[in-house]
Amino acid sequence: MNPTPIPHLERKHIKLLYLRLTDSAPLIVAKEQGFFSRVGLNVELQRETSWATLRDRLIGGTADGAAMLAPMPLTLAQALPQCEETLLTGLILSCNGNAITLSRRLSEELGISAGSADGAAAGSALARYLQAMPDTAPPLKLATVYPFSSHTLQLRHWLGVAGLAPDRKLQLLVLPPEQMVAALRRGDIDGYCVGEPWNTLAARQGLGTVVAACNILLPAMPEKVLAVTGSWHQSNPGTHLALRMALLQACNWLGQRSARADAVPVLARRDYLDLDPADLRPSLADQLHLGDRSRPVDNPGWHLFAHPDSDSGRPTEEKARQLLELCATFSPVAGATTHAFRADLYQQALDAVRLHRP
Amino acid sequence: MSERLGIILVDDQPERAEMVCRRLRAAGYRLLAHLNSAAGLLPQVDRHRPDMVLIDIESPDRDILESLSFINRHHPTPVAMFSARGDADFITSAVQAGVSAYMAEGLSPERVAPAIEIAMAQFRSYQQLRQSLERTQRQLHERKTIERAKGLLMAKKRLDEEAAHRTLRNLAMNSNASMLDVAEQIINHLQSQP
Repeated sequence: MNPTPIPHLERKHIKLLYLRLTDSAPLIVAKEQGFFSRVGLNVELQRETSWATLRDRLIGGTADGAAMLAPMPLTLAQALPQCEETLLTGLILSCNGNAITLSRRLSEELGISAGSADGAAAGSALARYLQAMPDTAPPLKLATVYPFSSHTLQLRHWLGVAGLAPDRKLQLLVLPPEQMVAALRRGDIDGYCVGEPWNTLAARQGLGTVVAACNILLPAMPEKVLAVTGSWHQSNPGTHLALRMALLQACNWLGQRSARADAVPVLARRDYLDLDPADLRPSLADQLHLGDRSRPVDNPGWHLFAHPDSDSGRPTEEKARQLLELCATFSPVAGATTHAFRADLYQQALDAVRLHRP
Repeated sequence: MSERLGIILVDDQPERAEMVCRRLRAAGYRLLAHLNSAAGLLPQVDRHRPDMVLIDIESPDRDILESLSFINRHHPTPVAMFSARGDADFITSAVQAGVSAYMAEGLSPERVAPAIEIAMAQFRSYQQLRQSLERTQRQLHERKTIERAKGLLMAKKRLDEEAAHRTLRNLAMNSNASMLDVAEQIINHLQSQP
């Protein structure tokens, strides 16, 4: 293999932030498989607990970049109206990867305890249940991971198809991904939309039933992006290019099924996701666990990582517009910007990666 | 200041919370409530109508707070530290100190900035306290381990104290390791012998 041509690096020591999620894999793989070091970068990965913390650490300048929810850079003005910093991305790391899980109790009351991938029957069952529910009953609570997240869009889309929206009987709230399963176990919430492995984990433990795979509700929705601040990009264009190259190569590597199997024990390590490999393996093998009593079903495209030969990693303004249109169905998005998605920066990384392909 | 600002503090570190509360009170703020977690935050916010909420930046409960403010405009809105002083240095030092702050709609950022600065200073000095405590404990552990290794050498190899110390030091120098590392190896080694 030819050595990777390296851009001029303004800085070599880099800190990237991530959450305990299966689709943080590109960062971990880029470090462990040497994709970062091959472009001359020495990268420290720092795990964060919640999206708000990750966002503020990045904007506060205590890290160089982050694996971030795709709508976050677009809606920074909504989340932090007074913040003068901007966020941008030149690489969509992955699409898909989320599902909607209801508590076992609720799924049994709805008569859908076998689970489903397409969400349709579960949606209608929930609509009937809410209609029959007395006004005096405590509301059902469904959690998502951030107000402006693919999860919120997917959850609201699923509810919308069933003619439902949050109201007095049905509340949406925000919880960090890694707290979802515990909140479901305690009965604080009745269900959630979250990224893997937190659906598989609840299903395998019999705490919850998966009622919709989000890649079936809304296929190929951008999920995680490599985000940096506008001012960081200005002062580190070469380092940013090297980062995108290394991560695009890591995503490409994750396109092979055998590579994904190899990645599982590494992701599971205590210093990374600190999880049982058995909970990480299914979604990376396109296997969907609906509950503890049913056999897993095939779910092609459960995780769709960026790939040099496909367009899923390219952050186009069109994709940004589609995400913002979905956000606008429940919140004003004035001041939101499609410019945060930089297809030109993606093209730079793609050209650089192709230069040295055999 | 025409009216004293009312503050709710959410902090799961009791000692630090105590420090922050004391300083804020001394500076003339009203401490409406101190909570260990945001679990009971919603009723407290409804009851007290705080001007601002101060919360550890690492607290996962921040998400709950943000979703409240997003759903209901009566609740404290995002995030005071990004507007209070307007400059990047202020944001960076708040983030580094680990403070995040939410303020009520319509409040001027200038009015909440001093409270954030007090919290930042207390978070930092608590951090230093913790670090110096950890350092002391580490030194204590190190001394105990070395003394124990010396004792084993003295008992099993029939060395006097001076010679045991010299042995440890030479081993450390020759293997380019610390006295502590060598002491731990010796303890493991000599203990496994009958």
